[in-house]
Amino acid sequence: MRVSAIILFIFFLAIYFCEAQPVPATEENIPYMVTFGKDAPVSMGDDDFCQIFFFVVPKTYTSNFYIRVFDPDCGGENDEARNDFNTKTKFAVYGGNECYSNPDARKVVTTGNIHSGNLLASKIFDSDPKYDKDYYTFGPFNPSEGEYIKNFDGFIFKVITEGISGDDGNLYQYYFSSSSEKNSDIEGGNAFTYEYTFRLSDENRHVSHIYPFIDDKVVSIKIHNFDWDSEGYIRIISVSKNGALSKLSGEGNWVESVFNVTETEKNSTFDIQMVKPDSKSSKNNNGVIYVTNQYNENLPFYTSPIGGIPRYKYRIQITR
Amino acid sequence: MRLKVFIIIFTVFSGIASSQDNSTIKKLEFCSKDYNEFAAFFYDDYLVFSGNLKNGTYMNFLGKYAIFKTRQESNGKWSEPEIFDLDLISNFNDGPAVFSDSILYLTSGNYSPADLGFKSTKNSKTGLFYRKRAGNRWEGKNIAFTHNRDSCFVGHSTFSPDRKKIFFAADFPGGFGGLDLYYSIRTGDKWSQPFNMGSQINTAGNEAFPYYHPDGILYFSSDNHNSVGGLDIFFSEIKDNVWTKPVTIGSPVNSSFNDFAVNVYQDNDAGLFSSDREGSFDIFTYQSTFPRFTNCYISGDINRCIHVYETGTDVPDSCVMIYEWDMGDGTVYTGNDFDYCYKTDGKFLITLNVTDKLTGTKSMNVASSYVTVKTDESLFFSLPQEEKTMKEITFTVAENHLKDFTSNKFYWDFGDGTILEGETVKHSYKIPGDYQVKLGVIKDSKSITESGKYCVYRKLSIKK
Repeated sequence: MRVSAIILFIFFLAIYFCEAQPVPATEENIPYMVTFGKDAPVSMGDDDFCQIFFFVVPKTYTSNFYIRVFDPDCGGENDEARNDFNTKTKFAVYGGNECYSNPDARKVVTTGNIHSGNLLASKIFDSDPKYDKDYYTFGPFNPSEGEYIKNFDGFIFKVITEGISGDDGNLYQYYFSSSSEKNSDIEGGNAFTYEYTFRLSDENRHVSHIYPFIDDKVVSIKIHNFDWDSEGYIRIISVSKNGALSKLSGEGNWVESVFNVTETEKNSTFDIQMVKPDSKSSKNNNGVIYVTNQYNENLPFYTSPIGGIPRYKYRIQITR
Repeated sequence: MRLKVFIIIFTVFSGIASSQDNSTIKKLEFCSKDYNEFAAFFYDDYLVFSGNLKNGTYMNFLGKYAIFKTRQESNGKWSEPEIFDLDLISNFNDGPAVFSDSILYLTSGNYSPADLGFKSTKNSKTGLFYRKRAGNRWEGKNIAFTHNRDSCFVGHSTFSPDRKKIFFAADFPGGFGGLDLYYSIRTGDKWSQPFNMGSQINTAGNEAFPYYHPDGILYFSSDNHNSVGGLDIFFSEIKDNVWTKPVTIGSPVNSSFNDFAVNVYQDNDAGLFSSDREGSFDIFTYQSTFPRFTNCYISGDINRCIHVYETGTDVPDSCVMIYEWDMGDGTVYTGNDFDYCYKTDGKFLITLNVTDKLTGTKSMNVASSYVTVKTDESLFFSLPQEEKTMKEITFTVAENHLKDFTSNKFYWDFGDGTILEGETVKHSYKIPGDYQVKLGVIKDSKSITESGKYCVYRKLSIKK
């Protein structure tokens, strides 16, 4: 009870001082999320052609809000064509009971009932210049349409993006906004996911981040990564890990690395950094990553890291 | 009276004797050229000694030696020597004597003073005896030391400061030859069987007149150990449970005549000794012009070294970071988990800067810590562990961290009888062996006749 209160307090603290961010967030430094059409080979970097994101609206926020999608179509300069663009991508917003609380919604496999909850809005996009490098806005939504989750003390909405046909890669972003016309932050809002499929930067030495929250029941974590093409590095920065390196997957396969969690790391955020090599960085590399605890439960990545971006604590020891 | 002493002369021309006079000597004025006076020591207000001065007793008429006393008057003159105590006069030659608490230990017997007792015969009856004093009276008669033996000489006793060991000279069968030094350990009222002091001390010649100084130095006389003539006075001390190679006390105390029966004052720099250099046994005082150092501390190396590492991570192999340490003394060191030695004492701020190898970014001052480096209060000099004979070695004072010893006068004792003063000196060893090199200083505002000394030593092995 006391621990849950601590988590809640930290969360409140984080969301109180944190404004809603674009997704991917500025702190994540990830260019785009990516979802391929279901006909694409997994070696393109998308293992299941599906991306599920959750948005948290604090209960103190009572106005309408919007979920804006940047570049939802699959056909422009940002997107990745296999041959000609032939892909349709469906964006759907869910609220209501079980949109979050259904266990299937929080898994990284899409075989269960990921569509739990109430479908509030959806749209399918193919190659449409109208939305190329522009926004499509879902909403308005009333916060009460989401699922109230006590631990978050807020209403959860789920957005599922699926490549329902074709073989191209759709690159896009979300914005959680109080305005339909422009990106306007929702105070105290946050977003998280349990599995991230995204486009890595083309730049040498570019660093992207994801921020899983490590609660007090976690004693070890396992980082799962897919189709990293063995390029660059994945490492952990925490209060007591100063770049512990994870294994890297090759093309089209999964690799896991296990790390112990120290007492000082519990109830804090890890900074999992994905670093491009210092030279000859490849272009258009997409990858999938998720993290589980020792119970094989998925850990959420918050776009705004709970408790702030972790910093490694250097300690000098001097002996005679 | 000129005496002939039967000695074994063993002179080494490239010897270990000191090459310069290191003390001044003075004969006590009550000593006569017509009589023998020797083996002196202070007891209460008196100087007590052995001799054959005319004293009006029958034994004296027979030419027997007795114990005498004299005292120095307020004008500096010595009183006319008189018998120490008539109750103690025996029918034999008595002396030397020594007091241990209230017990007088006396060498007494039919030994020949001319030989100083070095020759035993089957009729020899010279041993150690003791007598307790109770107030102004002596109890009973002289009691024989338990290890006295017929046909052997046993005498010249001295005691360890805790009175649990007695050292004496004897010519028991099975020794190294002539008189040897032995010791016995007390348990209750009993003395253990005597133990020969071994080949470091005893030789095929004669070792006699031991004197155990409270500082743990054993002085004795020998006509061997490269003596310059007759008996000479040497000293040795226990280090690591073994007696060190005996070192000559040097000239002018030692001469080409018999020099023996030393009694050293508390500070180790002055004392009494006996010598027949002027024709008869006489008592001299000596005063070192070079301080003598005892109970030296073993000298280590100056240690300003620390071990530094970064301890924040539970996964220390995550070495994608370059650690750059500013050690606070102008030195920058790259690495993790390392040893570093400062050149001076002081308080230093160690600052850690980190470069991320993967991204190239450098973070400055990610952590810092003060370290205070303070050398132990001691005296330091360095030595090779081993050198060869005849090779000139330079000895230099490395650093002096003693608070009250700031004088620039440094005294070296090379353990072979050579002593030198200076911050940097040179010396070569002529004879292979293991030596203790001592370096000493005198406390500020103290002369060498007063206490206030500090010394360190290091071992040096000299090979052929």
